[in-house]
Amino acid sequence: MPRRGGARQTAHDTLLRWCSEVGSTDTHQFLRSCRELDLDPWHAAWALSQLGHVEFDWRGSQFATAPTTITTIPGVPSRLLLCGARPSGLMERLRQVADGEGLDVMVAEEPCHQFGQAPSTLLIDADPTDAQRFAALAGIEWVPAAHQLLVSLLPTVDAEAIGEREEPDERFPHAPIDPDTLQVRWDWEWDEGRDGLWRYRTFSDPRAAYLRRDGVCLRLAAVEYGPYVLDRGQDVEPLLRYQPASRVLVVEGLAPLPDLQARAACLCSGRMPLRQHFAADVFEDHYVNVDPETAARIMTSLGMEAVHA
Amino acid sequence: MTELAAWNVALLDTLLPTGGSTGRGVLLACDDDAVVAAGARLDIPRTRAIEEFIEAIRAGYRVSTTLGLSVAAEQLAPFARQPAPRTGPPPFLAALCLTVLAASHMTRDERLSTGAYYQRLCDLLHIEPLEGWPAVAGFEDLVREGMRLLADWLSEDESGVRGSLLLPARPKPSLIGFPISQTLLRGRDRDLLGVFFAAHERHLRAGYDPALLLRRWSGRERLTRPARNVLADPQLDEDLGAAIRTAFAAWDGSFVDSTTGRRVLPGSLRLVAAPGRIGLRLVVPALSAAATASTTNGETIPLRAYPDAAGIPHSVLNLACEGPVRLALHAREEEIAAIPAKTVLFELGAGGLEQIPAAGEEPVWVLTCDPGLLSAIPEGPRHFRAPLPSGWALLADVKPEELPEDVRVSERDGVPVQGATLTGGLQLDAWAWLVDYPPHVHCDLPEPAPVTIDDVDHGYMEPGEPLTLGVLAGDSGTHRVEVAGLYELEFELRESGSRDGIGTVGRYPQDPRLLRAGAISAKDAGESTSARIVGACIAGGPELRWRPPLMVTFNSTVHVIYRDGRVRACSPPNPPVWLTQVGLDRAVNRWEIPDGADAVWLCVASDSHPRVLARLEMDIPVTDEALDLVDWFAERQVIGDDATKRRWRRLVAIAHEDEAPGDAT
Repeated sequence: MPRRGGARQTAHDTLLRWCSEVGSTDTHQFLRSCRELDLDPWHAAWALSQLGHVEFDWRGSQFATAPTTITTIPGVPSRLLLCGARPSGLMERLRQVADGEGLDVMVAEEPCHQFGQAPSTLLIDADPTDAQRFAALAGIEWVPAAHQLLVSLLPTVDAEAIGEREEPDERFPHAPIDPDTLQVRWDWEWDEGRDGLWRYRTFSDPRAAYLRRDGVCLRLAAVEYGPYVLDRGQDVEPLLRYQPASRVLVVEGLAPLPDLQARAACLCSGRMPLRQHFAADVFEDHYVNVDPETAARIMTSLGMEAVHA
Repeated sequence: MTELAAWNVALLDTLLPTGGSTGRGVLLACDDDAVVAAGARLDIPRTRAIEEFIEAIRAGYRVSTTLGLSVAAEQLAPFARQPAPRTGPPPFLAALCLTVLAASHMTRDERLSTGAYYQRLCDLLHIEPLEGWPAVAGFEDLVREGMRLLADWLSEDESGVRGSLLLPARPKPSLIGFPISQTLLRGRDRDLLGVFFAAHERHLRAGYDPALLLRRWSGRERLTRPARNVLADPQLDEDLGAAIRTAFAAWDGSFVDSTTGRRVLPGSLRLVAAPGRIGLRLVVPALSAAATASTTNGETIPLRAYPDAAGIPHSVLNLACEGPVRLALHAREEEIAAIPAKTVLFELGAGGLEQIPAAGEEPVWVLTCDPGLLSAIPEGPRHFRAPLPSGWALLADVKPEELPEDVRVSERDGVPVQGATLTGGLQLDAWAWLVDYPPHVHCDLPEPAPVTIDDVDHGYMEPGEPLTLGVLAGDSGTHRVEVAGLYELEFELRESGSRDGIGTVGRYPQDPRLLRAGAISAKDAGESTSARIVGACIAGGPELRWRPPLMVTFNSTVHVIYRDGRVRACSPPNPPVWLTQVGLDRAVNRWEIPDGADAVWLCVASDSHPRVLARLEMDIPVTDEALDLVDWFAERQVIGDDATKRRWRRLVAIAHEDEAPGDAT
């Protein structure tokens, strides 16, 4: 990755612009473009997906940029968040629409950087009363409170819902996941077939996660679900905490939120989570400006009680 | 068509194809690879091609020690008498090819010197050499006259479209010099080519010119004299390149070790890594049948035919601490390269962890006894826990930058190049790139090559080095790059792409079947009518009761009277802390009146311009707190039409009545 944050920021913005111009193509092309821009492709894809810019179908080896969409963010009604495709000339077009139609909309001159971790945040200063008309005139989507709408669609995650019965291929390297630290323990000698969460490195999916429970083995739809369907002791730290005073959703570093939950949290601000490091490999992700209802729904969708810290 | 006639046609099309050779000198360069290629045209498997070719010759010409190739030689005179143009190849072509094939087999081994041509030919034909000269009956006529007739047929009957056969005026040795002169690469050269292929495999796969590479190879002096002569003859460049490519395509990875003289078959390790257990397995692509091998300390290891893998004991790793481990194949002059060094890299393949020569960009697994590497990655979650010989460890997820330089490859090593290509940049479609990120040029020329960009000289590009086209960044339009006057590349730099397919991949969290799929294309989602999420764009979800908030820009406190008579004082809020933290707090001058949809009157307590605004045209229930506020703003300017002003005055009147002494009691 480029060392300087400024250079990385430009690279992330350029990558989003490229995705927007291409529209949709295969993920190999995406990986090549990341390499061209000196960006870690997995981190870049994670950021683009969380922020609602691009959808990645890794199994189908394709990606598609999402339609340009404006939405509201909680607690800051005067700001509209711009998500999805950001092709060349978009800002100029939005500015022309705002000026030409006499709408109470001010398109920011400068997007706000993400400390070189993701594409810049683009907020439009507007009276939300004018937002729908503005979107229609500009030819973009208008989805008020997308974060609320998204969490309202989240099913409650349980192992049966997000897992499929499948015996793993033992030829591939595998190791248990420590239920306390959630680290992959290649240095553990667990009995094969022991109950718990297992990580397999298969050819088709280097991050395959399997849950063994009561003699049944389930392949999880995404590795991120693993910690949330794992049987953990009662006395362990919760994986999620919500701080209502600061409206921060705190996520344990090794238990990242599944895609849609993460996107709902990001759409509350348009920001990537702020990573707080405590030691090597020990960190938390702080999602800012998450309103209590959204936080509660994210927690309950992951089978947790909506307990506020 | 007889079997022999079919071979004639297949060999002709393989060795002397039409197109591209017109007027050019060519050779009848028949070797094992050419016979395999010709056999493929007849649907004969590669493992049986040579055998079937020999059998066709033996049967077609009734070959025996007494008759030798006499029957083939009898075909010469009738062919010579045929009127021109004679269609179809000379009927004795396969026999001529056989004589060249024998020359290509000449090598130096225990029984034969390089010059023992006749023994090679007899071995191929399964006959004994004759006492006199030549040692094979019919050979002299066949070679001397047959080669001349073939040359005539190519130049006259075929009008040179297959090239002109190069024949020596005075061959040395006088007779077998004819077939030897046709061989580009002899058996000994082909053995050496294994070493050359091993050294240049990456470049050859990348499409570099094989003849140029061979000419620059440090081991070229060990080639036979005829091969060196071919190498020095630029007229034979194309034939030599084609021969090397054919040999490389058929290469099984083996090479002859120059110190031991033994053929080395490369092996590839597979790992089975399960908690508490590491299985070490060896695959040998060049091993076509099961075999037994032994280590230098006498341990016997049974091996399986490719593609099966055979388990090998961990004790072999002890030998690898001292250097590469080779296993000697029993009853064969061959060895298997089992473990290349004290650090072996693996990546995920279709069959599990498979050995790779070097790490590219992705993390790899490392089996090592290198103390430096082991100390760099301390004991912890990445050390795979399983019994291994002392000093060895299996490390998971080692990043390329954590590895020594000699087991890492750069991205450029893997760029396939044939001719000149455009790579890198931000590509929009087949021939268009994003305007600020033009492509780079790669080419296979072995020497510095002059470059022009849009017909302007741009210096030279170095061999193996990409040419960056940064000079074109930002210059939209069509551009043309020419390299060495040989390669022309035309492409376009654009501001925008096709933007096709936006929104075609989405998520369906409410559909139990599709929930597990994650993001998938609309096509794969089929007929699902479930709610669909694409980025922040959500369709088909529940109706949310969102109403636009009431926003104001006053820089002062606003007292609000609601439709139920409630009153609330609202002040411009400070920007939320998170906005300040992330640097987005500037220009927040618009703020929300809570429950704005129910606000009827806004009383702005501005020092310079206190005023009253109506939000809703309606009367409110009279409450004490509302009347107190009305009284406070009774004299202030009311913004609005006459009706608004009348309603405000009525409220003021009620407030004043309310304040009357009698009322207060």
